[in-house]
Amino acid sequence: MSTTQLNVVLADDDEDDRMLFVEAIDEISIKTELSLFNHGQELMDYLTLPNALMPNLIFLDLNMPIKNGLQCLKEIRENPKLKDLCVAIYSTSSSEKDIEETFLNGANIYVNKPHSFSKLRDVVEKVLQLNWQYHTSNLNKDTFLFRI
Amino acid sequence: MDLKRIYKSSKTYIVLLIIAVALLLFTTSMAYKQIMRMQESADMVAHTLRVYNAIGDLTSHYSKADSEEFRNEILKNKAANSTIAAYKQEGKTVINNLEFLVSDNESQRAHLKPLKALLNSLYSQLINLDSITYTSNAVPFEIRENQKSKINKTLFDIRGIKNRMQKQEENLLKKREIVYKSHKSTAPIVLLVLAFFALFVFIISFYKIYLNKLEIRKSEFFLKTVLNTTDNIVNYYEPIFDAHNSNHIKDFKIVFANNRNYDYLGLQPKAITGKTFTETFPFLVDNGDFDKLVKSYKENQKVELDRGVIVKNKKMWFYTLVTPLLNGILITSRNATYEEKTKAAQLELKKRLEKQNLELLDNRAFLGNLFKSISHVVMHFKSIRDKNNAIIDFEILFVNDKINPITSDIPSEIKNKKTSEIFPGIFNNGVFENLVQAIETKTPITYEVPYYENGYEQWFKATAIKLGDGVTVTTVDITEEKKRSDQLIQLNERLSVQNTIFADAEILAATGSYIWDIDDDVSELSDNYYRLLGCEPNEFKLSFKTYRSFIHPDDLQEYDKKGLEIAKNKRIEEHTYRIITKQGNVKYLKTNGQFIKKNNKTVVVGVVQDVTAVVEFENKLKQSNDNLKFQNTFLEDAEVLGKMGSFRVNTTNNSSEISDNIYRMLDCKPHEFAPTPKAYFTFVHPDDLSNFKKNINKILVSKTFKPFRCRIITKNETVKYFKFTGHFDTYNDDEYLFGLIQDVTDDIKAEAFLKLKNRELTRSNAELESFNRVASHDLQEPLRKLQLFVSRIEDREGDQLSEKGTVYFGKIKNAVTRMQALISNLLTYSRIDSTKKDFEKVNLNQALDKVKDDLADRIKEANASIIADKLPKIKGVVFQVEQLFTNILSNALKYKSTNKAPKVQIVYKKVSASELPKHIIKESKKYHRISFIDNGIGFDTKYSKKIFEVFQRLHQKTEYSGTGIGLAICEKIVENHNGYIFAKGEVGVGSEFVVYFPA
Amino acid sequence: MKLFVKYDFDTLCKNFVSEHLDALDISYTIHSVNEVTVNGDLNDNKYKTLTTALQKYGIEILTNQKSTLVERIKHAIDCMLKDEKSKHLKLSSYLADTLNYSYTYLSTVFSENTYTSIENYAILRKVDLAKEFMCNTNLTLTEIAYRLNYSSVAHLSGQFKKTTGLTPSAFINIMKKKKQYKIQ
Repeated sequence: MSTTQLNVVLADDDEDDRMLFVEAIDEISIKTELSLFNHGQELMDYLTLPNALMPNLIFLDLNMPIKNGLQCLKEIRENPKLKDLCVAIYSTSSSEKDIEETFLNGANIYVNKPHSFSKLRDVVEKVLQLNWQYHTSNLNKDTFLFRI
Repeated sequence: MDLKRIYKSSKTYIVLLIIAVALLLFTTSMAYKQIMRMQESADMVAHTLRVYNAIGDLTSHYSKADSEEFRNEILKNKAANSTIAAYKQEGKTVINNLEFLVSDNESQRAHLKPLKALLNSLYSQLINLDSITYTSNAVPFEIRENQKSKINKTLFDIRGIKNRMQKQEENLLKKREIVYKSHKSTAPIVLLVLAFFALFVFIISFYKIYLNKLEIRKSEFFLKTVLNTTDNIVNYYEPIFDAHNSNHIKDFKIVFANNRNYDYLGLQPKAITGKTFTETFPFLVDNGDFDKLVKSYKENQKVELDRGVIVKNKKMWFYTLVTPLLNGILITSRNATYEEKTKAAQLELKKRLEKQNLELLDNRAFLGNLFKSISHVVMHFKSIRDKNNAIIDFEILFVNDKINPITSDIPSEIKNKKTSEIFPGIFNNGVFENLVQAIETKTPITYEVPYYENGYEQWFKATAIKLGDGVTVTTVDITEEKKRSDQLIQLNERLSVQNTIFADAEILAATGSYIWDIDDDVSELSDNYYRLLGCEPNEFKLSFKTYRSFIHPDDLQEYDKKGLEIAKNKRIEEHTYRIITKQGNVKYLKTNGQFIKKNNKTVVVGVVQDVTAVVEFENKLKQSNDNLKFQNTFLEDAEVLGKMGSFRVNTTNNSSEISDNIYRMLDCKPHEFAPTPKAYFTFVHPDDLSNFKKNINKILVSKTFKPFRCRIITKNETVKYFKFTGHFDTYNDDEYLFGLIQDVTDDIKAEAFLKLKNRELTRSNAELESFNRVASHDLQEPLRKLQLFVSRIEDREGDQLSEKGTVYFGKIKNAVTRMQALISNLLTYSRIDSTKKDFEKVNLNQALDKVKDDLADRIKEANASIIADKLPKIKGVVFQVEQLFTNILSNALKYKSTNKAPKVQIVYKKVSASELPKHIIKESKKYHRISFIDNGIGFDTKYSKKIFEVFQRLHQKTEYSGTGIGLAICEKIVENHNGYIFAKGEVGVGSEFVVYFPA
Repeated sequence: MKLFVKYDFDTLCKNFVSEHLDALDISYTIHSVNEVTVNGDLNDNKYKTLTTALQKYGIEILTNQKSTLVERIKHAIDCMLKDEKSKHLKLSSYLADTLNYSYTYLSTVFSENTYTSIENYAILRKVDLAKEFMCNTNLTLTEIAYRLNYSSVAHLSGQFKKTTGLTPSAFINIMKKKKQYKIQ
């Protein structure tokens, strides 16, 4: 459904990263509506609004002030209204411990922040595509687990 | 054995034999005939030959005439007439001869007549010729010739006849030869066949006859054996007739007699054989047996005789059977002497039994009266046995009237009944067993048994005696006697019990008693007194002197003194002295006594007690006291050394004691202050006082001592930490609190120091952790940004950069990438901590697979091959092991040779710990040795230590990318697993990394 | 208590759709999960009710012809992967044969509508199936590789890693831990 827009949100305290992410989204062909949040609390405040438009995909930085990514993830998975949302962790950390912990807490995708813009663009595109597939095809969401 | 059959068969064989003889005769005659015929043929042949010869003579005769004629003619013999006459005579002889020979042959004889005529004419012609010659010499030749031809013609005729005759004879010869030949061949064959046949029949007959003979011999032997072994006399007699009256038998001749004759009658069979009956058995003639034998023979009837005879003054009985047989009689006599004797004995027995019976009846009557008159119960039981012949019950055969007052049974009613019905009680009180025993052992048994009737106990004494297969029981009521004896027994028992108790008491208390008659110097000692002396009771006769020998030499003086005093002053004092027992043991005896009057005599009755244990215990106590004293000083020293003191509080009366060292610990002199609670409290730190009191209270209430600490201020105003421990115990009915006080000031200080250090460590750990975080995140973040923006610029403005700018840009990128790699490697290095809490079982094969997976792209890119042995499982941290493998393998991929496809061989071997260098602390006896052998650029083995150091590189940065941390990480991981890693290499050939893990 | 369930989405959706159609008294034939033929016309009212009813559960009635085709392609790929007989066939020819369109056309339509290629989708779907086998069955990697027509375990592992960023063992490990984690 090429006409449908994908609603994507990004929660990241780093301004530069947010900026680059916007630029990357702009460069890819999938139609997206991107919302940005400065930290976890902001995101959770938005999501828990009664008439909030549910995003198709959430990019979540782990290391954030006020409320970090892992806390957000746990809250999302514990909230019956939000628990089916697709969450992609977007972090600098490549420690196995972090990766495993987020997966165990219900993250669908773990993305290491790339070291080049082109890679960033590719990664974002791939995540969007994956998410798209999981939304439009009958792929098994229980095993929706990717590391990019 | 069928004698008849044998007899019959032998007959047939005799017939056969006769046939054979006939055949033989026949054969002989046949042979004779044959020979005769042959002789005849031979004669015929010979005759023919003779004829032939005669004819031959004839030939020679006329041939002679022929030649004579010539001679006559040539020689012109003048005396020819005589010659012709002789010749003529010769011819006549030949003819006669011939005539004689062929007299049996008609045809030849026919030939002879013309021959005779011809010969005669020949003679005449010859004479003519002669006469011619003689009369006229040289007479006309023609006549002579004529004459000659006439002769020749005659000669020719003669020759003709001769030839015919010869021919005939030849034919005859041939015929006769054939006949002869046939006779010659057939005669011997026929003879031979017949002879063989006769021989065959002979052999068979002879063989069969021989067999029969054997059988007969066997039968004879059997018969003889039977006759010899039979118990009967078997004799065979042949009658002897009267010479005058052939019908009258005057005697018998014994033809056969068997051995029994000797056994029974003492007559040797050989001796009596051939003798007459009357001279052998004269006694049988007298009793008329002889007549019976005669009668049996004459009438051809069997006769039976049954009579006794007296042989050698011995009466014998014989049962005899007389059987007529062929031309004699067979006597068979059975010796029935024994049977007759038995019969007689039986008769005797019967008589005796009858007599006994009568006596028995008398006895019974007597017994019956007896039983009636006696006071005993008399019973007789017959055993009833089961299949195994064991007695299971008794049948009452007899019981006298005395049973009635006891059991109220009537004798006649219980007769023939079972004891189990009438006296079931005997199966429970052992009586049955007694009765059985009496029967089985055949010995009388006496027993006592109670009988309960209407709750009243009666006692009976019974005697059981075996009689036949039964038992006679005589029972008498002993209830009264029993009662009396029971009382006596009870009394006795009580006494003996008391005695035993007394004896036991003496043993238990180690005491003995004595009675001493001073005047007579006679003493009596209790058994235990003897035992105290190490002797058997009453082992020796006691007197003052004998007893004195037991006294210990050192105590003798004292003992004598006391003895004297007792005798003199009649006063006894308690005193203790030593004795030496029989076995040589020293004992302490305490003695005492008193004077009493006994049988008007004054005697000393006294008691001794073995107080050895008490004395020894006192000695021991003294010794242990000494020991304790020593230990106390020792303890005091220990207290000083261990900075501790002990205290004891009697909680019952609230008194307390403290050891000297406590005083010292409080910087006081021992016993400087009174050990009261009040005094103690003054030393307690004011801040801890309330707590101290609370603790004390709690301890006293709960009766459990929970160790506690408190601060103390000593007399010198130093603050010390004291630790109190203790426990409650009861001693002599008082409750005590025993405790220890320890000066733990130093410990507390050390503890505080440790706590401080710990805190510092925790802090530094936290700092390290936060550094990690900084390194992993915060340090990487700016770097990543740098990279991102660099790439952004490159994307957007890359083409606007100058050539130099592009180069610089590339350098920036490289530097940043390196920096990033360095950071991430350092991070890895620092993360390998040595805590072993996450050790788990690691399958190295799986780890290697995962690493190969991770490196799949690079492996493929380098066209590398990795060949691995089957690897073991070890204990370790999975991700560390994976890191190790990754680093080693990526090293091999990185430092690959430029001209060869990289190849890594992973070889596994389990080895002994001794293979590891000495300085490694071996955790296990066996190690897993895993070596990674590559064919890369290799290195000089002299660098094999250096390559494991952090930031050590053997190559230029530009040559090979790397941070110089990879192998350091490897070493740290291996060490963390208590393993060992080393490397060796050769430049241009390859390198080998060897890892050891404890197995 | 926690229960773990496994769904068959096909059956679930089919039953769900047919229940709603039954409720509205519409006669129909379900061809596949994504394709339903309605016998006769639907009036506007009924159509609207059905749309809203299904939309609530995330089921959309596709109006676009091409979208329908994409769904059919996806379904065909599913069938192909699950069918023992056809899994050896070449994807392009299988799709062309089944759907009666040229592969080029199908490929174009698919890419236009899904931001990805048929091949990529097929790989994703294959990996998805592999994941399901790994989680819900006791099959070994070798058996899974065979079932999904991979030439070897290495091939499966390679594609799995490339697609998901995780090795099969890491994935299985995480899923196992996740199950335990949830129970806790």
